[in-house]
Amino acid sequence: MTTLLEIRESIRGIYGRYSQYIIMASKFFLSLIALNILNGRIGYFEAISSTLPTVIIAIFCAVLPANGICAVMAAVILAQLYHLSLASFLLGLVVFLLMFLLYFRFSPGDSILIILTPICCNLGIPYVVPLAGGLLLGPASALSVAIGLIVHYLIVFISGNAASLGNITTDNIAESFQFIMNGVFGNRTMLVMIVAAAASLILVYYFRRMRIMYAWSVAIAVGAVSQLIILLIGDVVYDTNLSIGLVFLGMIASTAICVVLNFMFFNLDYSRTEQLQYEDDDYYYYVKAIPKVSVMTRERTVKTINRATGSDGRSGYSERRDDYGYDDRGMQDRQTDDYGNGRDQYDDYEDDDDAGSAEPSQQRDDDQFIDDRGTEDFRQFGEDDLFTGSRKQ
Amino acid sequence: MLNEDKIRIMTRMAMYEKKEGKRDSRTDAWFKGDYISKALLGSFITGTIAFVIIFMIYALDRVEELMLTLYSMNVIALVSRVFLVYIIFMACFEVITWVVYSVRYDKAQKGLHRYYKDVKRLTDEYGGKDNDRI
Repeated sequence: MTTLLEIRESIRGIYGRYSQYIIMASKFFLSLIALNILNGRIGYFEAISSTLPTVIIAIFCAVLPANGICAVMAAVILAQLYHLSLASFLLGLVVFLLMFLLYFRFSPGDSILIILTPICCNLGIPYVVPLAGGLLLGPASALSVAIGLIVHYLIVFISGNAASLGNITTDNIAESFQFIMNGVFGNRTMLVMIVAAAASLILVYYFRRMRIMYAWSVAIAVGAVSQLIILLIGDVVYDTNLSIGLVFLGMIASTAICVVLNFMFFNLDYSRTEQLQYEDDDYYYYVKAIPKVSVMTRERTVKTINRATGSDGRSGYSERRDDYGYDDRGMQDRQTDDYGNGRDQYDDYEDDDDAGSAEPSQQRDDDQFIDDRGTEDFRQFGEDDLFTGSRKQ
Repeated sequence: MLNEDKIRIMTRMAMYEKKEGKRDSRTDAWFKGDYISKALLGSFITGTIAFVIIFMIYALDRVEELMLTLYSMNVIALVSRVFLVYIIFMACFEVITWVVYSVRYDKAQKGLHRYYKDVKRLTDEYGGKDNDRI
């Protein structure tokens, strides 16, 4: 658990430092995924369905606000539909026109859900959007989710009936119009999904704001169960042909994602709840304080003292030496003298003449056996008798 | 020496100015009545266009029935019914617009009120943001 909390704090720290780039990257990848889904289903216009235009449009979307991304996606869909047939283009135009006249009139702040909903529908987890919307946004987001579902089912209808839509003529326009109306606005699966999503989102929002323990967990459970119940009732009453197994699997995955969201955004330690009472001049306060679960992350700083690599291949040794022969570490060249003793920075400390010299000083005192380091040279005695100092003859 | 309280106030003010402050100050340029009236007028125009589109779709969907009863129908009754539906539709849309923009105006006023409180506090206690008095 501590590890998870540390990971969460790390993620928050990274987001806090690089939020601008993370948001741009998120918008880019979201747009890229949405465009790939569109190209897979209704990619009739090859000029914008290929890889390079898709990437360029996604890069353009990365710098736009959410409402702008919705407008770009609508334009891409209309361009694709225009290349299919005039009838499908008019159908898409009517839907998006109504959307912009009635919904974008209010400049909503949660229009990103309109793009997220079709993406999640294609991934098999459409139930996560109303659950997450109720946890993180408000009840008005139900409208955004509903519009997202309408767009998704419109695309599914067009991709599934592309041949019929491409063969509409003036002779069969009346029947074709009825066919489109029943297929798009009379789609019972879509209507049941919209009712389930809206009800679930409002219930999740209501329960997560309640002053009860584990409010978010209760809200997620209530939202998931309510969606399941409405979908099952809708399947029985309206025969929507939903795969119950896939619905269950999708609901489990959606619930797991929402549990992660709960951990990231609203992790409270209910075991340390405090009840307080106090008053000021105007009011008497009854306060319930629940601490958030957090952990301090260890800050590791790696300090590299010496990164230079000398020409001799030894790391830490630099070829650069000062006038006295000292390198970056304050060490002289580590050549040894005749006695096999290494030289260090103290060797020439007292003798200026030898400063910088790599060779041991040959100066010796008058007795010819003690040099300026105070080291006696016993070699003059030949094979030494160290005790007597006499040379063996 | 840094005054942490002053820095906290100024940071909060700067964050507000960068994000919600721009939108709230545009809202504050209007009286509440004028702000909501402007929004209601815009909703009237967009709502009317949307209703015309929806009515046309409905009429196209019922075009066969319309053609069959064209010569026997009571046109005035039909127009009255359509007009009644239009009034109900526009009433609902305008009520929603009124509620949304009224709440937005009140939120903007609250945010600006908090901002001006910080300005006053900064001026009274610390002599303003450019004053080095601690």
